[in-house]
Amino acid sequence: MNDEISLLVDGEVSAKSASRLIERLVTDEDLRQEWRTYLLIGNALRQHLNCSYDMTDKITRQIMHEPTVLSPRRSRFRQPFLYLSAAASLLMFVTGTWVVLGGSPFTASTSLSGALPSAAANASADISPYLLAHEEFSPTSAIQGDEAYVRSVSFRTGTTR
Amino acid sequence: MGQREVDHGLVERVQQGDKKAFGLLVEKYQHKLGRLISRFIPDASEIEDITQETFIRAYRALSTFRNESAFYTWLYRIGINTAKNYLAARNRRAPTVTEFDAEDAEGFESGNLLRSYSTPETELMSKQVMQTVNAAMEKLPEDLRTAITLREIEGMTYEDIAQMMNCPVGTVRSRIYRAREVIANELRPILDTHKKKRW
Repeated sequence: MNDEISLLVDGEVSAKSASRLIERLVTDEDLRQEWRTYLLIGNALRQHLNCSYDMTDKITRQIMHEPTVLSPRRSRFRQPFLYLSAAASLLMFVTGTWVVLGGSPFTASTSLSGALPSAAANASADISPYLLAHEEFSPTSAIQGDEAYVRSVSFRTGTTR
Repeated sequence: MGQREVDHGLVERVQQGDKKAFGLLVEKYQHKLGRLISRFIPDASEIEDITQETFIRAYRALSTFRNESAFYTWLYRIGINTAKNYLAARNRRAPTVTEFDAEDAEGFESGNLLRSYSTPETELMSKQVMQTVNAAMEKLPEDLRTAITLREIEGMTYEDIAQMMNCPVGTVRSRIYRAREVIANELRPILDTHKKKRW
């Protein structure tokens, strides 16, 4: 097992082994001591050595009183969903632009009616007065939005009930 | 897998609520961080306080760590900011010589430029450990000594060491482990004497 700790200290283990070893290090005090000794040897060889009283213990004790850090685990499906949401956003944008600029699906069906010219001409003659009367409600009108919902209210001053 | 990935594995464990895993990161980087902070702050007890404060701040901010940089690079930035804030709060200015590029943090070697932040007692203990390690290194067979020197001092990967020593990677793995075990056997009596101390 110590040989694997040596590999872990050098970052020369597979991800799977690293995960297993870290799990052991958290719970196995003897193994943890080996890990500390190997780190100490490295620090001594690099002249990084400084002895400090129980710094790890102090920090660990303090952390125990801190709220637990929780971050959502990264899903391996994250990327496909990202692309899907980007595609959905793009579709919404294109559809919205199309509708606002007058190319609503309803307008599209009107253009399709060009395939039946005589029927379209008859229908057009019948509905023209209707369209003229309801032009303000058309989505292609220059002014859209809240106008249809605006109500005027007036009152006179100096009158009593 | 490299050091960076091992650190990320530890960070992920902490991010999933395993507070004890953070202790492994503290053990791994406390000396390196302490040496860095000693460039700003001369007093031993202050260095220890700021090193601790840096780790606590890092723990609190760990949910924002996104593995886009190496853990130590991130920790290094927190350490420098903590030290500078500490000095600012006391109307003391950080020495300009300490302004490194954070990207260099990974390879940052303190060397002799750094002040020692040991007290006389800890200095004695450090000296004892250094002497024991050096004596053990002297006694090592040449191939083991070369392998561990290339790894610990030169920071080379096993693959590079294998190429340099003209042997398989498995042999390098074994040599480094054996060298560590020989040195560790020499150190154990000292470490047992100072069991209440952290190194």
